[in-house]
Amino acid sequence: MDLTQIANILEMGLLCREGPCPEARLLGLFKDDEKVTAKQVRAALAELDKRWAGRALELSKTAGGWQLRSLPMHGERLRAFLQAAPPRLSRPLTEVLAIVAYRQPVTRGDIESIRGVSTSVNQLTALEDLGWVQVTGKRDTPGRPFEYGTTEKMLDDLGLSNIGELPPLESFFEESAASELGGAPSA
Amino acid sequence: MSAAPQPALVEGKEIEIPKTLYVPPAAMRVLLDSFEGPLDLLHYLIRRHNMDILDIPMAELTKQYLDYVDRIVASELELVADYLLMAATLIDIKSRMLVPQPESEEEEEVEDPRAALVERLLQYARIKGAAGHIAGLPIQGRDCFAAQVPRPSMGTVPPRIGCRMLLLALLRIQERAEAARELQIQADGFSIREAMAHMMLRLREAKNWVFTKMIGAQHASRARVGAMFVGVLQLAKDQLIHIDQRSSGEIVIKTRRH
Repeated sequence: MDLTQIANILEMGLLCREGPCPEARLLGLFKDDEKVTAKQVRAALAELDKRWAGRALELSKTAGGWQLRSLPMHGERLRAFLQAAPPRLSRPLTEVLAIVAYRQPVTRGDIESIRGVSTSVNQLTALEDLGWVQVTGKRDTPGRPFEYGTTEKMLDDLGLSNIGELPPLESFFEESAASELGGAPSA
Repeated sequence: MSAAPQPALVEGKEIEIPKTLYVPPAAMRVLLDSFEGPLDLLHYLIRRHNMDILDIPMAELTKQYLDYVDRIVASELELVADYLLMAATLIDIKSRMLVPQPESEEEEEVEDPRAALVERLLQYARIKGAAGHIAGLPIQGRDCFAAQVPRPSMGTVPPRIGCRMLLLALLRIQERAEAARELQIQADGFSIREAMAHMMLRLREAKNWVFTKMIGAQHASRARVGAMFVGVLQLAKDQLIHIDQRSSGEIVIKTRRH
């Protein structure tokens, strides 16, 4: 089976399957006697990536695997067209998410001391509802508070392969100092 | 804390409040609502007044902060406690800076009272930056959507059934039931228990019985013979009878008396 054929079959599988698909699952599209290797699948995925370049969909790889998705530049257009309700990402919500993402595992107490605000329950619940944050355990301190961490769905939804793809926290100070100087916080 | 901001005095001279600091009272509430807490407010004030985060003028910052918090208290926000805690922290730091440091001969470094606050502010500023970065990522469901061909669902179509069809079906079922009944094989209706009772009764009439006679001659049904045979074995097991085989070959059953 040549590369084009393999790419065609992968394309079909990715389009018809729900959710991102890991490489190992993609191999399941081929019968044993077709003798398609993981290496060929990878090559075909690269071929697919090239095939979709400059078109309305792009091949993306996130924690959960491969997926064909629409280009972010058309987000607004498509959102209105699909009448999709996007996740409401308020400032407190993204702050809590950032703290969980960078400092995981964190407890509610950690989050609240970093933000200097004594309420983070609503944000944590909203993030759990989005499937982005989950309880990962209990800390061995008095009260045994829950520890929270980010999920694979969070990585998938944010287009990340792993949490390490987020830029290091130290890199943000200069940036925010430059962009916010003299500007009122936007509501 | 006063309700109206007092003119700031520097060395006895009144200085003008910078124009950029003036916020119309009506907009104040909106502005305060937009802060995510005391750290956010401090962060904003520091930027607003171009203060050096690593060398914060505590007097100025505390004054500005209290001025804002005054209004927050007035507008009864839920987070008043957090803001007041920070106010206390600021005043504490300010007062500690006013206390002259005892001169030590070794000139060991005395920790800046602001250090902990600066560390928290820096940490918060980074998280704020990270939050901004995350909010700017292309997010599935907001900025991009997974392409997926919807699988056609094979909806279940309810069968169209009329009264006549139901009636015909019923007739067919009855017909089949009828046929099955005709084929049914009648059981002999002679259970092992009955056989045992029967034999015990006969043994009361006479103490010895030849097994073949007990069964009731040659025209007994196969089921009857079987039931009697198993019955005899069961009785023997229950130690109610003796089974004896004579040299002639015939089997004799006797009651067992104590």
